[in-house]
Amino acid sequence: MVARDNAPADPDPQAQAMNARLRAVAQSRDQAAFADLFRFYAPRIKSYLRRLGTEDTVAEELAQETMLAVWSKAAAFDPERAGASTWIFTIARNLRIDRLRHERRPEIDPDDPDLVVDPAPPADEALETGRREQRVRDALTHLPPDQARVVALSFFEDVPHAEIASRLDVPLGTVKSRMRLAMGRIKALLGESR
Amino acid sequence: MSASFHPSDALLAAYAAGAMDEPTALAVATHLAFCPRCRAEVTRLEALAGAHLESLPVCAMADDALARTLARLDRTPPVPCPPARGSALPGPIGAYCGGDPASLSWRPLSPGIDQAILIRSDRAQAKLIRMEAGIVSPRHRHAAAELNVVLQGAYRDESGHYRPGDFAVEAANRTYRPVADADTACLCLCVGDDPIRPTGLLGRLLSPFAG
Ligand SMILES: [Zn+2]
Ligand SMILES: [Zn+2]
Repeated sequence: MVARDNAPADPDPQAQAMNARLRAVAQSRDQAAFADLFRFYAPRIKSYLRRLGTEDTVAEELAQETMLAVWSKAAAFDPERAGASTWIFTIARNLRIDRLRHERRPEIDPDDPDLVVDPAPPADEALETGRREQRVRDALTHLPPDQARVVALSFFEDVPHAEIASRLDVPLGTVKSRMRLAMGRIKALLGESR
Repeated sequence: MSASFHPSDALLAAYAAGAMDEPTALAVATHLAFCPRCRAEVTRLEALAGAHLESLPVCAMADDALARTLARLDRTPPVPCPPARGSALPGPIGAYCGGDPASLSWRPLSPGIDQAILIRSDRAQAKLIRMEAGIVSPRHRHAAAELNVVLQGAYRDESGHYRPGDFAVEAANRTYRPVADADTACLCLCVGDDPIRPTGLLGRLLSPFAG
């Protein structure tokens, strides 16, 4: 099951609906749209934090804080750069660093006029954001289940390879080779340039 | 001019996942300001994380979570987008020295070489190093790997010629003798002192590809 590399997937309607709600929050402080975003994302952000070992009450509180930051920072959401899920992931990630590790998150400002720009942007960047993000979703869903399991465990659950091996009852080398296969496949589907 | 020396895939992945200490993240982010290729890679990795967030099984919120959050909205004003501004130093470094490295407290390290600490954490520290034009620095090695990102000017050592944006890794226990180019002073961000450990998550996920 290999996705056709040159046929851009259509952006999925749910992703487009989430982007539209986020724009409604930015443009008209739409509380109903915010409530929809909250119902979808808050339980997933809490799940993300729990998987990284955050205790339940702290994860609950940080998920609410993340959604408040979505409310106050909505004007910075730019669907040309990232979809709603990606943008909200970065807010949750940064808030976790700020609150639990008490560190700043060094980041670049994409509007900084001093950023060195590519004279000829690669084809991948020309691909519209919605389609690019849809390809990422497709890549994830097209992974064989044994590879997908290994990716999920080490991507979002912070489980060391040795522990994944014992949980799945396979040798460590198998975990590493599944990971290598999975990432190779995802990179190929995304038009990896390196 | 784009950079020619880049962070490994494992470092970019750990940066995207947020699984990295602040000094190391500052070195990666500073490189990103110079490098459209690595910015595109981080964008892809963040999209992967965003897609995964959508597909996570939900973890139920408290019954009153939505109501309590809605009640706080009126007290949470919108944050306007900050105006884009250029600074003397590229990328996120400016925020660590008020936009002006001269405002830091510099102290001499050896003749022609000064340093100013930006971040001191329990795992690593980040500092700026300024070498006068043509200075030959003392031969040295580090017990753990050290990262250098060139901000201005250029230097050369046993492993290459590094120009603005280049991300250099001085491996542990190897000996280095950086020499600043003759025509201009060289300003670098330098992260080290402790083992560079891209912990957890994507760092481990991608470590088989570390270059
Ligand atoms: Zn690069
Ligand atoms: Zn050194």
